[in-house]
Amino acid sequence: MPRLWKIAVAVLAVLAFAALLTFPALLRSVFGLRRANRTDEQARRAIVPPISTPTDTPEKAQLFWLSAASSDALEPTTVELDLSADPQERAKQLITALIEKVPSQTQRTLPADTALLQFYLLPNGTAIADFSQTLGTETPSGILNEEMAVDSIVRTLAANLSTIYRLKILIRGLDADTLAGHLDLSQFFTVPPQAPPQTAAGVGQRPAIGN
Amino acid sequence: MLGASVSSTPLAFGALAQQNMPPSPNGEQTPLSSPPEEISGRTVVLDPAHGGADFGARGPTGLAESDVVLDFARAARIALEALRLRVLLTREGNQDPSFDNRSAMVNGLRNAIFISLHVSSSGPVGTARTYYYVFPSNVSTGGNLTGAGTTSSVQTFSPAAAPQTPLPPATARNSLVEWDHAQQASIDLSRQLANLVQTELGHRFKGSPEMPVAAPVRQLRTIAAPAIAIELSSIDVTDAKRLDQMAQPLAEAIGRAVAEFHYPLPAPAASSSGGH
Repeated sequence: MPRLWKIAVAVLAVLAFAALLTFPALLRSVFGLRRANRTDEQARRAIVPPISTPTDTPEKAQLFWLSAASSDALEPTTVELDLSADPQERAKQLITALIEKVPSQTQRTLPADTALLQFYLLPNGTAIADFSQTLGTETPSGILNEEMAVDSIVRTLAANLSTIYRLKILIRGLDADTLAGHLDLSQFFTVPPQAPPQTAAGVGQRPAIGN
Repeated sequence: MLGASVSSTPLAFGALAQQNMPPSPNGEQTPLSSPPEEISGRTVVLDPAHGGADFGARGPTGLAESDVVLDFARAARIALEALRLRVLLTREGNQDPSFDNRSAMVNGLRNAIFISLHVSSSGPVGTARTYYYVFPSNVSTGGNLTGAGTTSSVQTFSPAAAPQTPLPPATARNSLVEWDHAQQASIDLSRQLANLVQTELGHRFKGSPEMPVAAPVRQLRTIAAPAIAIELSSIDVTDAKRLDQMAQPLAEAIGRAVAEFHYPLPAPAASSSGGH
């Protein structure tokens, strides 16, 4: 074997040995970067316990997702959830379930990474739902898609709570012009009165206030 | 705030049923005739949504809603100009005017109508929906509801739940219209136009809803004129030709509906008080 070849083989062997030594560290770096790419919402979910209150009882709730048969319609699905007797906590639990317990991705109405940051219920039946930024950035653009997103929230609240009269949607605590470029979020959405499938104490009465 | 352009004398465009329209896809020929003189002087503002850095919905092959709707608007312009209507586009190229700039374009005109064109991210491919504005506090979600023991489909933000907003007094020449609620005075006319358009779309795009949908579409809120949005489904196609093929039927549907629309003319000057 010529001398030059011997040198080349030796250099390659040294390089291969060095690569073997550094490979585990490289792998660790890649996995570390992957973890860093997790969204804020995923990180939040990892540390925040599920919403629960002392009055939680298992109940059958009606949640509204896209119909499995038609992507331009909603259909109710009965899901067993631990729901609070406190309407404000109950609403939080319902909206969180609407995001997290979707039966299939094709039936999803709200982006997976969306978080309900806060939910307030005023004595006059006005509800304010504050969502994370991803509601605006990850909801598929389009009138139909945005309409389905809002309607799934409104109908889910209406089906399981009778204390909410109207709903205001905020994004990161701010009034948003639109949901994802089309649907107007500047005003309130009326939550139509419906008889909830199962009522817990304190969640069955609508307020008499009409404005 | 903008000055109210109040009109009170509806003029039927029914005579336009005989119009200069190309044959429909099913081969039905429409007799060609000159449209009556009343048509000229009317303006249709076509609004291809999005533009610029805002692509709108994106298809699996990178197809952008902003490009597709611009093609739709150009096709509709040809159909409408054949009716001797003045047609304006809110953008002629890849610009992205704001909601208010688009609104200002139509609010500065008399006897104009506004049609915003969209393509959805998903939904049944080959269908079309027409929307007219409903103020959110009046929305009652009838729901596009299936299941729950019912087989009927009810429109989300049902038109039946829309507010029955009375038009302002015909002679309120000096009244002002709040910009953020400019659509309030035109809701009835918008609903009429939406009904006509959805009927025409239903004939051409099978599987489309029979009725238009009342929904708070932001762009429409600040339009002080009859205003609707049309959204075709969907950008989620691998073959762009499927959307291209929708352009001509869409243009025909818009042309026919606009021709049938009972368009209000401004009140005669003699009937207004203090006319000097």
